[in-house]
Amino acid sequence: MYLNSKENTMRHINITVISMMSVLLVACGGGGGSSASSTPEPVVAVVDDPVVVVVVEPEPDPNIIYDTTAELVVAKSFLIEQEYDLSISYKNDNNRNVYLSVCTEFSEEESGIKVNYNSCLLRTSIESSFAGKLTVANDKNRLVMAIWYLDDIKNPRFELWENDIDAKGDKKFEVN
Amino acid sequence: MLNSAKKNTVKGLILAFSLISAALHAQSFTECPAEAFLIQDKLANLYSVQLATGFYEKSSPADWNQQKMNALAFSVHDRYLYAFNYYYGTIVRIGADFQVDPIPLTNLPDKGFYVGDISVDENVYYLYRPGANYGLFRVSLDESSADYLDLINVVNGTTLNLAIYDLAFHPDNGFAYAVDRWGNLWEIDVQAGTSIKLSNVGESGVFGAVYFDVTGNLYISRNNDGNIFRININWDYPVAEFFAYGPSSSNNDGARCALAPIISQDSPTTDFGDAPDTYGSSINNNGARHDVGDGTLFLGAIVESEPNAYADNGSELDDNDGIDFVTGIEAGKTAIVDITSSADGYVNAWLDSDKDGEFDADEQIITAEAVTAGSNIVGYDVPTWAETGTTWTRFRLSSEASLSPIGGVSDGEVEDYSIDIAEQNVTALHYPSSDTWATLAFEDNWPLVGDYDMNDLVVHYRLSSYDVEGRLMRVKIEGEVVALGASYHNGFAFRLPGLLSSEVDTGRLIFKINGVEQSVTPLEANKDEAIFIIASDLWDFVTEGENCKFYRTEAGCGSNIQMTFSLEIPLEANISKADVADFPYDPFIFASDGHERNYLFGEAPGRRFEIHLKNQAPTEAFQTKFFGRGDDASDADSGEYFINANGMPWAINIPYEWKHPVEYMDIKYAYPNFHSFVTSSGVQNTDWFTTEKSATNNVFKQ
Repeated sequence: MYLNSKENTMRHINITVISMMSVLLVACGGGGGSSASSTPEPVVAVVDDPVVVVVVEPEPDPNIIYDTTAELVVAKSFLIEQEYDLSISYKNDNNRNVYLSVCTEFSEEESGIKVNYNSCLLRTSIESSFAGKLTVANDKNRLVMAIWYLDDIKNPRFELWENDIDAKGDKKFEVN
Repeated sequence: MLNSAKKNTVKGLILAFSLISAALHAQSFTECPAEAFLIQDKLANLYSVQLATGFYEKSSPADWNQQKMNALAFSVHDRYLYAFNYYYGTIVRIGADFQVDPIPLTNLPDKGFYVGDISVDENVYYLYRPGANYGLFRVSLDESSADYLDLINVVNGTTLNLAIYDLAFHPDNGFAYAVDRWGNLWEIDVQAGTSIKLSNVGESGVFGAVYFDVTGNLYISRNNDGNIFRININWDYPVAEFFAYGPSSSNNDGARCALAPIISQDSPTTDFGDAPDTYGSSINNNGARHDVGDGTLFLGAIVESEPNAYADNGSELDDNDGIDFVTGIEAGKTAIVDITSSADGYVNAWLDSDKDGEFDADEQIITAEAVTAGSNIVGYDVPTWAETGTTWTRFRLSSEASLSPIGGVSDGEVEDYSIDIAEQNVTALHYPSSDTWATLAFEDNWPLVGDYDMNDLVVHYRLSSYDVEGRLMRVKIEGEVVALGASYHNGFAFRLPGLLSSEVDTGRLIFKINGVEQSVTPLEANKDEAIFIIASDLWDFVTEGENCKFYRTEAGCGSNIQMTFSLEIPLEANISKADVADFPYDPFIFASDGHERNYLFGEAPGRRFEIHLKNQAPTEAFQTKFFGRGDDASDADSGEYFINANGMPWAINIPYEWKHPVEYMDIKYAYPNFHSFVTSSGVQNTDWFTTEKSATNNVFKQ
C-alpha cells in the first residue's frame, strides 16, 4: 500500500514537472548532445518569459524519479560535493620528531599494517602536536594514520579510523 | 705445401665429411642471436651472455666433454659457431644443438689459435697468433671458393705484432678490431694485414672476449674481473665506458652475431629504469639495467623485462613496487624508506637533490645497504642543500654490493621514482590523494542546458599544497585531459581564490605539458587574481579519433591520453594559507578567442565567457552581463552561480578517477544512483560515482 501511494504521488509530480520542463527543453534546442553539434531551435522567446521562472520555483524531492537529468531539481545551496570534512589531531606529548601520514589505502597483513603511501591526504613532519582538517572522498570510509618516529625508525605506529556514515556532527580522527 | 692433387683429395674428403655431419648432426642457429657466446675452461663450457647486463648462464650440456677451445667466432653466413679446438688440433663447427664437428685444414701451424673471428663481409675465418712463425691467417669457409678450408698466412706475427686476446669484425665496414693489454684500440685491415692504433681506451688488461653489436659498438670483456666495457668506434677518440658486470675467467673467448642488437627485441631479459634519459636510463645512454634472467632477486612483488627504457612491453603490470616512501623527503632531515626485497642483496640509491637531471656522486643516499627478503626499513639523510620540488630517485638492488647509477648488472632490479623534496617541517595536503585522480566534468553549452552526458570536457587532476606553520609555500597542480565531447573550443584554467597574481614567484614556477617545460607562463597577465591558464584552446592539444567527431567519448573512439599537464607554483613569502581557498580551488573553462558559442552570443565571447563549478563566482575576466541568459539562473546576490532554474550546474567535481558517460548518454543512465544522491542533497548513495556503481555499458571505454 505504501509503495503504491508513493508511486502515485511520484507519477503525479512527474507529470507536473515534465510539463514544465518540456517548455524549457524546447528552449535549449534539445540539449544537442555536444554543444556545437546541436542545431538551435527558433524558440528564443520562451527563454525570456519571466513567468516560467518566477512562478515555478522547483523544490528538490528525493521521492521523485526523473527520467532525465535535464528535469532534475537540486537544492540551490547543495554544491553536489562528493566529500566530507574530517578533523585530524595527533597529540605528541614528548615532542618527538615524528612523521605523520594519513592515507586511504592500506592492508592488514600478518606482519602488521601495510600502508600505500601514494594514497595519502596528509603528510607532515612535526615536533609538537598536530591538528588539521582534511577533505575526504565519499567513497573512502577507512583511514590510517601512520606515525613514524625518526629516533626509532624500526617501530612505527598505525592507527585506524572508520567513518560512521550515520553519525551526526563533525567527524574527528583523534590520536593521543 | 701440398701438391694440388692431394689438396683436392683432402678437400673432397672434407666436403663429404662436412655434408654428412651437417645432415646427421649439428644444426645451425635459426636466427642471429642477440646474446653473446663465451667459451671457457680446460674442459670447455659454452656460456650465453647478455652483454647489456653481464648475465650469463651455461648453455652447453653437462656431459659435453669437449676439450679446451678458443678463437670462438659466429658466422653470419651459415649461423654456426666456430672455434679452434685443442683436442682435434683444428677448427670445429658448433651447432645450436652443441654438436661439435671438427674441420680438418691444410697448412696448419704447430700451435693453436686463441684469437679469431669470422668476417661479416666475406665467409672467411681469420685467426691470429703473435710470433714470427705465426701471425694473421685466413681460411675460407665458402665451399665454392678455390681456397676452401685452406689456411693461408696473410701476414707474419712480427709484421703484425699485437698483444691481443680476441678480435671482432665490425658489422659493416670490413675491419676487425681488438684492444691490447695496455688498452690500445687497434683497427685491423685483414686483407692487407695492417693495423692502425685508434686510441687508448683508458682500460687495460686481458680482454679475452670482444664483440660488436649491429650499431657498431664494440664490447670488451676483461678476464680478471669480468667487467664489460663499451667502446663507440665512431668517436674521434674512442674510449671505454663501463657497461656491465660480467663473468670473469682466466681463459676466455667470445663471439656473437654482429648483426644483432645486444638486447633481444622479441624476448628481452632486461629491466630498465623510467627516469628521463639525462639520468642514464636507455641502453644508448648506458642506462641502469638488470638482467631478470634467473628471476630470484627483485624489488617488491614483481619485475618485468623490456627491450629498452620506456619501451612498452605490452604488460599492464607496474613493477615499480618495491620502495615505500614512508616519510616525506625534507631538505636537511632524515627520511625513511621501506624496501621490499625478494631475497638477500644490496641496495644503492640516489636522489637528484640539486634537480639538475643527473645522479651525481654526492647524491648517493643509500650505499651498499644489505637487505633481506621482505621489508627493510632504511633511513637516510637528505642533504641540507636539496632543492624543493619534483625530482627523481633511483633504487638499485643486486647481489653486487657496489653499483653506480648507470650500467648493467646481471641480477636484481632498478626502480626510479618521481618524488617531491619539501621544505623542513612542511605540511603537505593532497587532493584527492598524493597519487590518485579527481575528475572535473563539464557541460559546455552554457547558458543553455546540455544533454548531461557530462563529457564535453573531462579532466583528471590532483592538487597538493605545502605549508609551513600556516604559511603557504607552494601549490602543485597535475592533470590529464581525458575527453572532449564537444566541438566548442574551450580553454581550461585554475584560479586560486584568495591568492593574488603578485604573490606568485613566477621566476621559479614550472609549467609542463606532456612532460615538456613550457616557455610561456601560465599565470594570466593583467589580472589581480592568480589565474593559471593550462590551455587557451584544448583542441590545440588533442585530436579526435579516425572517423570520430570527438576525443575519447564515442564508442570505438579510444586513444591514448594526448595531453598531460603539471604546474609547480611557488609563492612569495608570508602568504597565509588561511587566506587561500581550500581544494579544489576554482577550476573553470572559458571560451577560446575567435570561436563562436551558441546563438545567445552575437560574437565570439572569448575570455569573457566562463563556466565554473556550482556557486563558484566567476573571475574578473568574466562578462557579468552574460548571467541570466538562456537557462542560466545565477543570482550573484545570493551567491548562486552557474546553475539553472533547477539548481543544476554545468560542471561537477568528483574526487575519483571517474569514468565518464559515453557520448550523448545522460549521466543518469551511466550512473543510476546520481539522481538520488542529488535529490537527497548528498545523503543517499554517496558513492554513486564509483566504477562499481556505474552501468558499464554506458560509460566510455578505452
